[in-house]
Amino acid sequence: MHRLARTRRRPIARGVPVCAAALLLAGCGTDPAEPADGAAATPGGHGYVAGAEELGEPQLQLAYLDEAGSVHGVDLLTGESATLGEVGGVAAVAGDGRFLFAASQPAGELTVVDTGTWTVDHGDHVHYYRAPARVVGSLDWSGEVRASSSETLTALFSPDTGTGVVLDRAALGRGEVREVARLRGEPHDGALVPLGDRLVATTAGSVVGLDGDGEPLPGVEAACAEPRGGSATRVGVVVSCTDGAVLATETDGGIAFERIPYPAAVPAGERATHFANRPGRPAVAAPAGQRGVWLLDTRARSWQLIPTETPWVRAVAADDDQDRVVGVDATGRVVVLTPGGGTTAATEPLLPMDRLDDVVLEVDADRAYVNDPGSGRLLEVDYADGARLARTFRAEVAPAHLAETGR
Amino acid sequence: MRRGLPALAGLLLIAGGVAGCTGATDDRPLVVVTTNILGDVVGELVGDQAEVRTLMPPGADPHSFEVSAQEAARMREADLLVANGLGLEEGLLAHVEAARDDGVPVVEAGDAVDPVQWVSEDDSGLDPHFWTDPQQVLAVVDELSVALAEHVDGIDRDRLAAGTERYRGEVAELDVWMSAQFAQIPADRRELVTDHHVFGYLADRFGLTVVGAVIPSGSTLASPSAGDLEELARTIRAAGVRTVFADSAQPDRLVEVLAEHAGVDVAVVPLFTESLTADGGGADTYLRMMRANTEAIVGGLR
Repeated sequence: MHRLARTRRRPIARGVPVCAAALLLAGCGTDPAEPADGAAATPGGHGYVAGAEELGEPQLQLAYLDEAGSVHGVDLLTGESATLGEVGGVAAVAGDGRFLFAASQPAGELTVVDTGTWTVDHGDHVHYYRAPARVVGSLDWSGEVRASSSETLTALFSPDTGTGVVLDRAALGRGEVREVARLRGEPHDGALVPLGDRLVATTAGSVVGLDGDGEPLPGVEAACAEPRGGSATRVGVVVSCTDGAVLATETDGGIAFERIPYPAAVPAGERATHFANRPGRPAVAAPAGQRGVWLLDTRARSWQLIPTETPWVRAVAADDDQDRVVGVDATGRVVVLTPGGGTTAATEPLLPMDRLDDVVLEVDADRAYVNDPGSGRLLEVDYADGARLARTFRAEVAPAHLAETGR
Repeated sequence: MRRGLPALAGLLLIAGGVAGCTGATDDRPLVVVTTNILGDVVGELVGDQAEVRTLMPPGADPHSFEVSAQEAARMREADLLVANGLGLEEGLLAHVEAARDDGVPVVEAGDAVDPVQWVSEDDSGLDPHFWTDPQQVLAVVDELSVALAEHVDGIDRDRLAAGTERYRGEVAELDVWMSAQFAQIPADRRELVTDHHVFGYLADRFGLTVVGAVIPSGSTLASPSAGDLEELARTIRAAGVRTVFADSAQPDRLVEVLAEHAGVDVAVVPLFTESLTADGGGADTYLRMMRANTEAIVGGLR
């Protein structure tokens, strides 16, 4: 909970909690180590495009596509559907809160779609934008895709080839695919994640810091046996390693690494893989094999293993006032837990157990969303209200892939 | 009552889209002003003695509007560059510094202000939104008048002094009027429940308390739970007010669900915040903006 004080005259609001979205948005997503005006000094580095409309609240949208690459959107404010574009046959998709990155295996390329809704966080205030959706362009690609963006950089990583591509995000916003760097590595279950104007990358046995051009920062390296993905948090970038996590944070001149070891040795099958969180929050979560869920607070630098009654196949840290974690379990339910209370709520089985690999779970400040790949539905779950099924949207095409944008 | 669009809502940000840009030559001195609020104030002081070029379009966001290359060049040719400062015009920092490096005199309104500070969980800064307190604007008027006299050749100082005196009187009158208006609000209803982050100076000056409100996201209003509305409802009850001052894309729906799910009966009223409107938009001058907000706040809380 954030609290605001006007220090010169008197404390504001007389102890009434002032939440982040109110007077001060400072707490909500700008990394404190990142200069507030770092990108603003560069025209176009402000998440800004000519013709974009600025609005008073997040323009949340569910973007989804079928395997043929027909991209559609549901406006979560109005419930209306829209057609966003065609990208051709799709094998894998990732999103970064604004753009979709759709990899097509036979074509050997990846197509970028601007869904047209996004958020820019600027310290004491946040901007919400809407612009026409469009297909931005394509680049050479092979294999699965993982995507992550800072305000200035977008990073894509293929675990199948070990290749990473860094794109100029402002150029993407202007409708141009501009490769800043292409990094070749060996195939591994790694990550490439922007950290402000720099990047955090993995090799098969380490985590390394790169400058904004993709060049290694001398000496900025930490051992990391068998990486299993990485994720941006409000604090920095966190990578899963055999013995715990490596946390990368911004410093005045570069990137610093620190280790967050597991509380005790963890068998390979119970390691945290593929952290997920509500964007801009410090905590991340991941399934812990059959045992339950890992919750890693990157601000407190602490791990917690929370047992669950059923194995979870997805876990996303909502990191709200109850520190809830939202997931999908092996029986096809959307499930909710708190660190102290264990599983506190669950839907009925909603999702086909034989298609759980295709289920994407997106969690925002108020709701969780999943695609039901079998039935062509998109489901909205109020995870703070007993996992109530709040809305069901009929998809225009079978939703093989899903990403929430506008945030 | 809805007073037209709130400052941030529904506007097109068009790069370089400054109204009134003409190629006509003008042999008067050039004063370039970043924000439209300050542009209005400077125009009142100098009258037609200088060309006053305001960079920020009506209805834009001062934090994020940007200028064309042509306007950036004009900034560097100005006889005086007037900026808000205190970190408001983030998108223009590089241009302001470039002009300063070229020797253009720069006056920042924030230097004349007695600033308040905002503090959050992991960040803090000075509040740049001084204009919500007319007393601060009086200090800024004095600073601007001195800078105009000092740096802008060809200005008739007597006319500038007369313009300053007249406008000072109008702002002082506004201040007296606002004081009388806000004095009508009972002591137990002086909490401004709002999602706006610009009213800190106004609250300090007129004895109100700003209570931060989280307006439920538009995506929750279609199928809300009590929990979605709980924090706002609790804030409203604790403040004991019947009006929330907020931008909401669906204000009527918000009022409806607050009544239905939280048993709270309130109005949702937008305010003008960081930008003047276009002519006739309800806040096309600084003085009209302040009067409109004062009437909305007093009407909502009284």
